[in-house]
Amino acid sequence: MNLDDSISIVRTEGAVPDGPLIGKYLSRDKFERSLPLGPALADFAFAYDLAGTPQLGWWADWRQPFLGDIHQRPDLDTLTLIRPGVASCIVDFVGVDGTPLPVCPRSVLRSVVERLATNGFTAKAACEVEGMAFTESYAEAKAKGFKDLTPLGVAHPLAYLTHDSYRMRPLLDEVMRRLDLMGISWEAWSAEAAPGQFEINLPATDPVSAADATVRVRNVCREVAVDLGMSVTFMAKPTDSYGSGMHIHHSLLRDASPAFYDATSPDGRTKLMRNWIGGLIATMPAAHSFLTPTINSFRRMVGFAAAPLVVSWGEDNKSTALRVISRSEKLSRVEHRLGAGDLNPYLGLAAILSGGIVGIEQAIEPPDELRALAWGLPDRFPYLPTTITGAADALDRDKAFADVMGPVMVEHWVNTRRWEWMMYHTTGGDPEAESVTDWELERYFELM
Amino acid sequence: MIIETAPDSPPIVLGTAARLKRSAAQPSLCGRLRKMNGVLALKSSVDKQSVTVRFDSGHIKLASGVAKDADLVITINFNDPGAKPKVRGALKHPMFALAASKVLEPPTGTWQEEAAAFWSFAANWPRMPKSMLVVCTDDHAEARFGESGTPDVELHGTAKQLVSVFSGDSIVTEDWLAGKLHGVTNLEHASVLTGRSIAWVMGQGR
Repeated sequence: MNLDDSISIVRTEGAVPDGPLIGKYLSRDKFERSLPLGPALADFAFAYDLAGTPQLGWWADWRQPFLGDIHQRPDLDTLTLIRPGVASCIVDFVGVDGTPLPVCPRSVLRSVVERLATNGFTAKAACEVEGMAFTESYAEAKAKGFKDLTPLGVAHPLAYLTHDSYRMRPLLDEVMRRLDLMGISWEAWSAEAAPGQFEINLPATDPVSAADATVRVRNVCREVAVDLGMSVTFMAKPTDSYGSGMHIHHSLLRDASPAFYDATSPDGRTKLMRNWIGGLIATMPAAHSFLTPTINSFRRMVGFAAAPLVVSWGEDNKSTALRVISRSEKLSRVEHRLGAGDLNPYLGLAAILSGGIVGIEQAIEPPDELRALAWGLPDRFPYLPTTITGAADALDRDKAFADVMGPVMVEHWVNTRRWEWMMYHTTGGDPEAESVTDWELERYFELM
Repeated sequence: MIIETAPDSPPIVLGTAARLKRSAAQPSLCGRLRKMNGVLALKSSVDKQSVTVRFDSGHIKLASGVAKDADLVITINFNDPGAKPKVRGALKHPMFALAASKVLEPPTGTWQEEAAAFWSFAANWPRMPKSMLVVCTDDHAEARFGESGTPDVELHGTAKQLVSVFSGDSIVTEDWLAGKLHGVTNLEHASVLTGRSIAWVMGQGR
């Protein structure tokens, strides 16, 4: 959209690595004067954790030694009305000279998409957004320590119940109305298996637009919840019921035509698709850290509860980490099922595409398909790391993955994950806890 | 002497192992450590941190949590070194309790010796400050480390505080933010120095 005369305020917003959107409300005049570099803010916005504690212990060239400025460079193609007189614009974070910040999640994803293009491909992707809604306002939820909240909808674990979704209508009808106003396409929503849990399905589009839509959908959910006196969280495991994931469907195109399907192949897969799967499998332990980013994300990794536990793939297998669909050109795609509900979609998509790119650049053939349920398997199967530090260590070791994802981003991420582990242990987390802790609820409920 | 921690051990386990390694480096305490047999647990009085240490004639294993078979359980506020710990089991195991109290509080050198040891551990780390000036505010004595010229980092504190931070009992920026130390440096050097300080507390280089 253009800035028509009705717009008097523009909200700039961009995701930091942990996921939350940061930005400013600008008068129209200030917004226009700030172009093309966009408004400034302190680079420290990328250097503190979700509790506001400065992250110290490492350094990189993008940071400034005396707390300098960075800019939010608006992507004017993302300008959209969010309510009368107010527009939103998604930004990329850049240095004062306009150079993209190497730890800006959106810029990292752009860079990975460009690498894919140098291989001759474009990607289409769609994220499934899962969250949980409660009838308490955020203030009421906080007063209860975010525990024992009343789920919006029916309080028993059955998915797709339409009388459950009917009770969720006050929240989700308004979410869809606002998405329509913003011009954000959506395909479906439904009640999910955990009490208060819902899922929103978005259509496939280019990866950056898919991530933009995902962060905006989450934000709209939170804002509607605020306006209705409810609360919503995208924590992976805010309760003891089923966790929230973010399954990411994706496929490749060559010259705008699907590149994963080969009608002449017995399994319907092109060599490209095999190599793509091979890369996703080979780099999955590394990508795991971006897909399962928080202490809480790992609580979702429970057998027989929808989350994958082992590095695995299978044709139309919803227990494996990769659900591969090869039965027709139209449907041909990979559903990556490892992602937790609290992942940063820019980084999650970048991690997935990076893995696939490693696969096609190194022509990696995948291991045998798993033709079994991928839960309750014996030790000889390749289990994924089960802790935030284990996943960070796996990421730290995979140099081929880092080369595509961006070594500066990877180094920063590894350090911040180790920081998160240290904060959990030294600021009140319970290392022996087998379910969500007060520390996690305080840290993540409102921000994820 | 073997001091063993499990992979992915939490900070309290690594920090306790670091203290025991410091004791093991002292000839008098090393002998004591070799003779110790029993199970000790340390538990934070303010949060959920805890560690169990199993002494078995010089083979020492540390793990997170408080073991049910602990002979001695010490509950302590790790954030307040002056706070009096609560001890359970000392009457039944007085010699073990006495030995534990010794090996958990390894003796330290002068602030200059501790600063030199820390510098030797940290100096070659990537992006580490090239030079450091330490000033003891008790007597204005100075010690310089690294390259000559204007130091990248200046740290000022009492001898007691300097010993604490350079021996690995506390973390440099925590002490700085709390006003226990004063410093002159930029954020890059403060951050990298903090990383090395945390690593030192958790036993790297020991």
